[in-house]
Amino acid sequence: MADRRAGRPIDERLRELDPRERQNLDALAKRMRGARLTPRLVGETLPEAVLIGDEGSRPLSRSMTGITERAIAASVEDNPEALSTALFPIIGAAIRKALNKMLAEMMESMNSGLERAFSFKRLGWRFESWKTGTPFVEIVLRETLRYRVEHVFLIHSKTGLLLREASPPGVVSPDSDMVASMLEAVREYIKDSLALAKTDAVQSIRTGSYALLVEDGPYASIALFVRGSPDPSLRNAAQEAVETIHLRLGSRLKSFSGDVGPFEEADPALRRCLLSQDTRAPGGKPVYAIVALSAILLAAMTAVGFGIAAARSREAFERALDEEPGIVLVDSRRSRGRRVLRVLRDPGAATVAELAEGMGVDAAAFVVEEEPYWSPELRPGVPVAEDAPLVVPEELLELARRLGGIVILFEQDSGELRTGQQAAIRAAGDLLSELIGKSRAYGLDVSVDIVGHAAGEVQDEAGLRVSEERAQKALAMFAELNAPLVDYVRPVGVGVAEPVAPTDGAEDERALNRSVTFKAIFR
Amino acid sequence: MIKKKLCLLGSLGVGKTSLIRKFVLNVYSETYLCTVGVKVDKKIVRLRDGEDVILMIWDMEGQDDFSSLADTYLRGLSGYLCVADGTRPETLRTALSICSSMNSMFQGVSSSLLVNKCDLTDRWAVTEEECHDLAPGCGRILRTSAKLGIGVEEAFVDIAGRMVERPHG
Ligand SMILES: Nc1nc2c(ncn2[C@@H]2O[C@H](COP(=O)(O)OP(=O)(O)O)[C@@H](O)[C@H]2O)c(=O)[nH]1
Ligand SMILES: [Mg+2]
Repeated sequence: MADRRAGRPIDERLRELDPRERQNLDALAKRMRGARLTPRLVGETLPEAVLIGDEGSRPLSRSMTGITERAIAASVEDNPEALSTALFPIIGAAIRKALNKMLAEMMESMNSGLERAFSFKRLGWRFESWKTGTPFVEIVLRETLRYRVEHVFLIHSKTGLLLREASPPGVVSPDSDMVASMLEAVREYIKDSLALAKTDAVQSIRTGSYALLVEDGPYASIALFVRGSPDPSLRNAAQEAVETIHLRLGSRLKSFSGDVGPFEEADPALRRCLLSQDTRAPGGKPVYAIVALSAILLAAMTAVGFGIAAARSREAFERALDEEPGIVLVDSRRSRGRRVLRVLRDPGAATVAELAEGMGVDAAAFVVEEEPYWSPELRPGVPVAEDAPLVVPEELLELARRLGGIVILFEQDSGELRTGQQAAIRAAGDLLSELIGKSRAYGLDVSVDIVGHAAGEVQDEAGLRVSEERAQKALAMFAELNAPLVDYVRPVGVGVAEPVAPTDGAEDERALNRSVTFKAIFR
Repeated sequence: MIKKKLCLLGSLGVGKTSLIRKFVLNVYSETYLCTVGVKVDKKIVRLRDGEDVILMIWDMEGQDDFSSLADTYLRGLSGYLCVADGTRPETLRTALSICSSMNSMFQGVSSSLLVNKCDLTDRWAVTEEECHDLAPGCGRILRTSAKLGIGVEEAFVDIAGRMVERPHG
């Protein structure tokens, strides 16, 4: 029967259908045709579809990651400038941070290099170092890293035109327009003659006692003309200025067509680059010279070792300080030409002066900032660290008690919440968020156990299971009402172990044990 | 204050550097000053309407491959003067090819063709008609002499005015 029917044309079979069914079918067919995906339809539903697709166990965002990464890679390949221009203000800060770290490390190694260097001039510094107790390296750095930024130019990259400039008072300006344009021209020329890549800009040029630092942004660059030896931090200042200016004036820079008037707003950022490092006022130098000259032969043989020894002995002293029981060296830094040591010292420990004397170090070379503390090393009886009893401020305990007083009720023998429990759960959430905030202020961490209980007199499997079920259920409801707090709570089922009310009391008392309560835990 | 970038282009020895020196410093010297790479000069030009514009004038060595200059020296220019030597017809042809590559690389840029050394009447080798036939792509055509100062000021002031009138992107 079925076979015979299957052999006939479909139209014939359709005609046999009830007219109403045919109508339905027609309507369906029409709907199907109408539902063809038009670009407009896709456009309208796509944003929503993406949102829906991002829910559930295999979020769309996960599957999009690879595509997005490849798209970015392709974009970088096609036109790296577009992306870096867009990201410039954000990336700048990250790069600067990395650069700072690198520079700090560079300075470290430079310090040790300087210690080994030697010249007549440095001989004088060694004498000064010996006289004042200032480590040699510090003096060398102070003497060699002096500079002054004499001109700051903001130059429009594309045209090489000078937009704004800044100079410290008293510095005679050159024809800045010319200098700026020549600078751009020269940089192009160097780039051109060295066949450098489009993105490899010339960033510093040295001539005699002048150094020139150029920091490029997408549309404008900043040029610092520095007399003396520029400090690496100048580069940071220039970078910061370039970023600030691009953040504020980026679109005006982009559409610049010759009118420099609107760029006055860049002046404060430019002026922040007018940095200098003053040399110390000269004085008594002849004495140094005479002493240095008469001591040349001797010093030539010993000075190198002396400088190293000065820095070494300081380090050794600092290490010894830190290792001394009852003393913690918190910080060692220079301030106004003096070494400042910040220490925590137990009143029972040796004094810094005593230790210095013991090591043959002149205590006058240091300023010691001391703060008293109780050292566990000197007091073995006092519990420390992990096993110390946590002192929780009364304010927090009060909140914890209030939270602990909230009871969420459940139906008998079941994991179903009784009706009307939302308010209590929401109240628990409010208390917890207050508790988290206040605990943080005291430097404490807090979390909350959502404790499921069971009514019964003996602990059994069923009771434990139902108490766990209740805790889970309460957690789900809690999470729904107080989503941001879910990381602070965890469900536990304790069965009859921690009853809320007497287990052998009246029924309405025992009903309190078909419940969930909240227990705050401080760390 | 308005600032504009102007470039001088053209074959070697046509008189670009001489024209700039005449305009900026009002000096002329016979000694051939070979420009190495690039040099920038500045001149404040008072336009006909009384407005001042700062011209940054870029002088560069004659180079045939203009596409390589486009994103270095020529970037951001508002106008250019293409210079030919009226005693050497081949420099006029070079000038015209420079103009046509410039037109394809830059839009909204003002330009003039300067046929220089017009003081050398006895050796003059290009006719008025030749220039006009060849010139449409080069903007305005002017005869100049850096040596005698003929048409120099006019050429620079004229292009400055057109550059300001036509601020491009
Ligand atoms: N007679 C004459 N000689 C000129 C003129 N302009 C330039 N010259 C000479 O032509 C030579 C090349 O000039 P220069 O400006 O260096 O050409 P550039 O290579 O285009 O920069 C020099 O010897 C100049 O003295 C001019 O108007 N008349
Ligand atoms: Mg020249």
